Amino acid sequence: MPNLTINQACIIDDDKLYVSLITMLIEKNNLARELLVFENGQLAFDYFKNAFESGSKKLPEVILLDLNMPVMDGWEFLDAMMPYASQFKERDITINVVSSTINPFEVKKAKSYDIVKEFLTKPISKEAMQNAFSKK
Amino acid sequence: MLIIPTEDLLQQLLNKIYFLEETAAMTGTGAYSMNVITGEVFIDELGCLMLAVPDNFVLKTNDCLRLFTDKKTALARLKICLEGGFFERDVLMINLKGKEFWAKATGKPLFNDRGVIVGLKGVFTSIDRLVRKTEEAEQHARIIEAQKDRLIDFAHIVSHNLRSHASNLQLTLETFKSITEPTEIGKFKDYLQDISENLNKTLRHLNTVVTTHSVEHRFEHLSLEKELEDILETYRSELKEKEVSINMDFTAFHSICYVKTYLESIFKNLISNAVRFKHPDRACVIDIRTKLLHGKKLLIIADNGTGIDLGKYSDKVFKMYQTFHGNEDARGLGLFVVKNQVQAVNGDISIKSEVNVGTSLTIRF
Repeated sequence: MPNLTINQACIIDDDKLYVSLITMLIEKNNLARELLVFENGQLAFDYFKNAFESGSKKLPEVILLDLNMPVMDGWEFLDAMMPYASQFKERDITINVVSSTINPFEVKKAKSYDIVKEFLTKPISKEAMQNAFSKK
Repeated sequence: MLIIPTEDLLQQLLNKIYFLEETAAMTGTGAYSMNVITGEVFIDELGCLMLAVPDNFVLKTNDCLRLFTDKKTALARLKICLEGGFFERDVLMINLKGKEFWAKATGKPLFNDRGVIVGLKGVFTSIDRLVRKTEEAEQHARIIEAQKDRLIDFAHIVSHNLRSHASNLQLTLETFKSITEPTEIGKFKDYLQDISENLNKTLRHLNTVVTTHSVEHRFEHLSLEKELEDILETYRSELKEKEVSINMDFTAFHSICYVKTYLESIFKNLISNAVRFKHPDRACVIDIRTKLLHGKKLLIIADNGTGIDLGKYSDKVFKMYQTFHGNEDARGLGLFVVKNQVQAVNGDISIKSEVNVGTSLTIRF
């Protein structure tokens, strides 16, 4: 049986409780071997910008991005990452927006980004997680 | 040779005069002309009524400026006509009894019998009722708009913040679905505890906002200095420890009829913001002063802190749960609450800020 577990996943979210819960969920279900956590868009952006530009670093395969965050929110992160959209495609990195919003406008807006794969509504179920972390 | 109009022509003329008078009476339109060479001013009967010109009172050119609130513009318009131009404008006028009213006025050059411009002439119609009604409607629209924004904020809190607690609760249950080990059970309980605390905090915030708009406001005469001193006293040790210096200047006005808790909230929130976002390279200095602008009472609280990039955040500054500095202390509630309170009693708050220079907040009472 081929190994389907992804190597590294990334969570960008300022809710510490949510982050520790999702970390446990990922560990318990062996959804990813490593986890990269950023508490706002700016820190994540700096990391990815640096990684893309140096071209050498190992990058996460799946990103779970929150929308409402201080300093740089999810929207600003997506906008800031636009110049690197092709890199996301080439390296097969998928971004999933995860938010507790149920505002249809925001759902539609998230899907309008090419680099966004799915919009997941919190609470995020185990099934939705397994789906998001599965290799197609 | 004297031309005597035929009866038909005379009738036409009389008809025309009749229609003009009827129109003037119905619309409330006065006529005027002004000769700047002789200083003579003519205002018809209806015009005199509108301007409250007493019988037998002879208005001179010099008196006319009294009729306008904006004298500079009135003079500019006179000049336009003297140079051969014309105008048609809405102007705020003051009658001789001192009552202000809005009028639509026209002006064209007045020529003497040799064809030289000697003044101006025109008509003016009171549009006061119309303008006042429009202003009233605009005011209502602004209030409704502000209330709509608040409702959206509310929907936001309820949908987003309460949902995130609910989702954390669900996630906790999911993660700890089949726990048996005592250490795991302990962790499980800790999570539930955290969620419960966060939920309570959100509900408390929600309460603060709800009460702002549902309680009756009790106004009282308050001395700004005394209220400020009371707040400073409460935080004396903290302010001293952080070496905050506060300058106050209440010379423009020193007392105000206001809701005591709101004034306290203004001082408390804005000062604590200034302290929280102090610049790392210099001591925190807060200037608090009052100012009168066009008869409006303003309170200005300015600091020399880190400042906020308003180009980036201007639409978010007064929204709930917006934090900008990634600061651990920030709750993103202070400015939201202050704005709600200030607006609840028909005032407003505005912000000016420059990164690395400081922030200045202005309350209009």
